[in-house]
Amino acid sequence: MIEPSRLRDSGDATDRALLGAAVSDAPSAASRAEIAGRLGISFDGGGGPSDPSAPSSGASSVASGSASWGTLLIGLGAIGTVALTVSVMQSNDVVVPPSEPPPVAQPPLLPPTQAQPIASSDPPLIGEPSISERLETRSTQPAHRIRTAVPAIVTTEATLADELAAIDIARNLLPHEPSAAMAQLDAYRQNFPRQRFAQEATVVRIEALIASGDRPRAEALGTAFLEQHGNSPPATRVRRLISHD
Amino acid sequence: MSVEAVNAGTASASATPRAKASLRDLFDAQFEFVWRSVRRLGVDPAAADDATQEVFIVASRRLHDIEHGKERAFLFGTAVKVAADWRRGRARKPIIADTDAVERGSDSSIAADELTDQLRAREVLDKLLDEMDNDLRTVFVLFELEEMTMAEIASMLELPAGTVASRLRRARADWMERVARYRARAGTGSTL
Repeated sequence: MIEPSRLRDSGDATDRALLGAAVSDAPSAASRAEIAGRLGISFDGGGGPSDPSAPSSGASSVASGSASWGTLLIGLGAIGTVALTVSVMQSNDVVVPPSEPPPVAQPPLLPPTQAQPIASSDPPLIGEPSISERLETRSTQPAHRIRTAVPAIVTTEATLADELAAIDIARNLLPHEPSAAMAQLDAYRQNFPRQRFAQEATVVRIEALIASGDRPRAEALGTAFLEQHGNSPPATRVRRLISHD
Repeated sequence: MSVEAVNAGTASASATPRAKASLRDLFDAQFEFVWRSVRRLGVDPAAADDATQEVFIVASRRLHDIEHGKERAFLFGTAVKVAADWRRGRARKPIIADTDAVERGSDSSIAADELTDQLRAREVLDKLLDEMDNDLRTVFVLFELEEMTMAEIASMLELPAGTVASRLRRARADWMERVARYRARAGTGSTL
């Protein structure tokens, strides 16, 4: 497969400016610490990439650099944030939904009126001078925090959690009541026509079929799954389930 | 065991130490990637943290399903679902401006007008990506912004290599057309 060169390298000034702008759009160290706290996991401030499946891309190096810069420049204010986050994590090991954030301390806020001129969201005006060249030559390292008030956010609907819960019910029924697990999966299919976790549901169904002694159907379903999703995250698990080894 | 009993148990279950360690490793390795992914897939800047958290919540409940070496594929697939949900919800809610961008992606040595330029460029980027077809956008983001190879994208998205190449070709043509239209609307000659 021939790899074309990337527009950030080979495009014109506008391409480079626009796509380069994404590089500086990185999460803050405080966001990282806060989300880790909400998830109930300890926070590794280093943030170095260690993913075995991660491609050797420039983006990952940019990302780890971002975390380091953010950590460095947030300074003493962030130490308090992290310390408080750790205490929250110790006292709350259960994953909490986004709508229930723990009371994590924030660095001092600047009044919105001070930040507004910088964080203007007005669209570019017609006839304004070009910014492409200036953007190209600038450093994009993240740095100094000027915290502004963020409105309350409601992100996704509850359906993802509902779907997951439905599959978890089936999974928990597996060891003792595989037929009930399959009935639960049927209910899942009926109640959630979009089936955003269809792959996971199929894996549980294969396990339920095996547990109930219907290995031929389990193998047929597993084979069909692998034909369609042979490279998917649960594919190895399916192969293991239907293998005769 | 009744369905209700199982359901009640699931709702109150907390993660085991081993599961938490796995989630922590996953989070440490992939947090930035997930955050960038939800952003580039259309989640508003002010909602990116929550969307990222939602992706990891899903991952925390699917840890036993995630095969070694497929972590990124799993998280990206989940990010696509979360972002799609968020975009549907956004249609019913006002768009929130990126008032928090200064703290995320700026250097203290950058002057206010330069920073404003960066934010504007980012807004234009968000808008142009938002207008793209979702399949094209996904391949475009992974190739142009995440700098993944086409083979890696094919593996991650479970697509034939030819499909990835075709989508990338169409995505780039679409991008160039949109940029040209944007330039024309903005009334400038060759750049922003």
